[in-house]
Amino acid sequence: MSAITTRNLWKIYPNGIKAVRGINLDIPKREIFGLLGPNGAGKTTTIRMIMGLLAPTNGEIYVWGHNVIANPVVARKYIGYVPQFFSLYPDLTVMENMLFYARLYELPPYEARERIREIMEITDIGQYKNVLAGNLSGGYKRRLELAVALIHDPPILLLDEPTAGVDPPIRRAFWELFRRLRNEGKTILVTTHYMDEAENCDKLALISYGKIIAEGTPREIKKMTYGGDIVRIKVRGDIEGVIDSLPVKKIMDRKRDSSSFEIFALVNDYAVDVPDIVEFLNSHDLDVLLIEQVQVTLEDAFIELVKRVK
Amino acid sequence: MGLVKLFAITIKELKQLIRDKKTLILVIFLPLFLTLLFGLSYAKEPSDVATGVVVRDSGFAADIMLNRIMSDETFDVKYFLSDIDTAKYYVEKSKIFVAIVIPEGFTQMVVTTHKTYIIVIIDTARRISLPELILADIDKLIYDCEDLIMKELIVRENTFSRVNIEKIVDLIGGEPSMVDIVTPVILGIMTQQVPLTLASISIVRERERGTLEKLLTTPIGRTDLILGKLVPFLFFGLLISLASLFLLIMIGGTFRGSLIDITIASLILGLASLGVGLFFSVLSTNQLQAMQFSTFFLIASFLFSGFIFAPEAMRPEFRFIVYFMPLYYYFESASNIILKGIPLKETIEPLIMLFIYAIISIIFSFKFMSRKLE
Repeated sequence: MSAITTRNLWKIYPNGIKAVRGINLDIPKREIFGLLGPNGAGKTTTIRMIMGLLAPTNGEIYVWGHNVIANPVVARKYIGYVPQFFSLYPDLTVMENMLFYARLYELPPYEARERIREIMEITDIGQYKNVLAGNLSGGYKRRLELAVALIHDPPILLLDEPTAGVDPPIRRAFWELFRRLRNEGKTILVTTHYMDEAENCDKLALISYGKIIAEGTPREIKKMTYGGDIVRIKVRGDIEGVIDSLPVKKIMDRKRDSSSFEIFALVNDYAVDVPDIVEFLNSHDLDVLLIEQVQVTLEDAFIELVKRVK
Repeated sequence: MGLVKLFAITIKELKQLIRDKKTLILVIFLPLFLTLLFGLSYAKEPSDVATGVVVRDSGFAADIMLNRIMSDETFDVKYFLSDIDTAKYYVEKSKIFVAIVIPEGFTQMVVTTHKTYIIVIIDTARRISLPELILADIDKLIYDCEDLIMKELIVRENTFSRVNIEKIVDLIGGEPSMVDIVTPVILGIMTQQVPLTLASISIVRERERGTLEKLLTTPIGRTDLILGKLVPFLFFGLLISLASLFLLIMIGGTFRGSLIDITIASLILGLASLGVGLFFSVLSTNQLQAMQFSTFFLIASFLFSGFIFAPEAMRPEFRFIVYFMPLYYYFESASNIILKGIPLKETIEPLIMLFIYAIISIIFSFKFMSRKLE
């Protein structure tokens, strides 16, 4: 059983905007699953539908095996939710906010205190327990949000842009924390538009205009974008006559300067194909100056995939 | 401040106001509507004032007087009472607002001396402006009767002489001081406005702050959420109401009733106010709108709940407005409790109506709010 499953999920708003268009997700347990996409791609709408806060126009959603549409209250018990914007009470202290939510989840007082102590340690927020939530810095506000989401020890965390507006060092700390939570058994569905931090996800779904345009591990997505690895080859000598015979899948780009020739080529697998390329170049008396794998970023992959969808 | 900056801010504010259609309607339409309603509602003369009549004379002059009273639209004669003490009792217990007594020998005095009198017993504790209006109307009534009786005397006795009818006024409740007048008003306003305002902003405040979404992801039900919010508001309303009463007594206000009775009355008013406040919360999309609804309801309460401007002074076709004002029912009972010391059980009817109002408004608003939270 997957932690979260969606089948042909649609959301069309009354003004006709199709925010989500037939999304299918199967998020395994104990994984960090990222929904990656630009603002307005439909990430938050998807999360809110999974949370049962927004009724889908069509489709099915299951959380921990429970139908969210039929019984959102039961499904929500399995989820800890961190919304995109600060959603706690700024005029209550950190401790008061946590106690309030512990009571809403009907945790017995002793258990609640114990759980809060534990979570404060995990999220490193204990030092601020008597500070008003409104007086916390941006990073600690997000920590508090996460702490409150963990209060009822849910197996799933839905994190909607949890690191938005947070400094890079704190973002890094957050991802360490997410990994720790994943290792402790939590399933995390996280949305982000930061392509760099999406690399931390076990699996990703790239979403654009309400549709999933690619899904897999970050490496798989990058590879599937171009159908292989990209190699940069720099040689001295005239390669023009033999370039079409080069043992690569596709020549993607070529540049020439006064003394050298630079080629960007697509190969099936860099490690497997490079020796053949070197041998080919040597056999044609071409002086190999450089052969390297071009590191494709998720951002490159995303832009390329969006271009194709358009 | 430079003119350019001032201009920039003014233009920005205007644009924001114009684009927020609901606020614009509230800002422009509601004050105009209230003004128009007030202008149309209030008649020149009061009508349908609950009246008792004591007729201790059976002569022709008494008949003329009685017929004139019965045909006057100001007076709605609800009781024919046997004597002056019963009339006073009925006024004291707020069963009627005014009693007109035609004494024994009324006609005989007219015939022999051309002078006679009536006794007017009037309640000064319930409606600030009404006694004055009624006394002015009685003056007119007397003037008409003097004329009619004089004509009858010419026919019967063949004598021509002016008839003079005096009115002896008995003010039940005396001439209340300003503190006495404002005590039920302040108490009512405090008890109404605190829970009403808090309830009206409660849900929109959560929505505006972004805390509502998070709350709705917890296992808390809509009923728990709404009730949990309303209970402290009611508690605050009651607390402030009792504190106001204490302060008013300290500065010399009259309080003749029982503290338990006024607490019960305030509790019922508080409940009704929560219902109205919650309804405003349903109608509002932000705190500003909720506050505007609350403020206009306060003004409407002053105008239409009967204490300052009597419902009897309204045109009958507009009088239904007062029944939408929780304060109307409260004043009907609370004035009796506070200023006359009437026990709750003897002035319970308006509070029963208010309780029904509270239940209906809470259920109605609750359903709308639950739907809005979905």
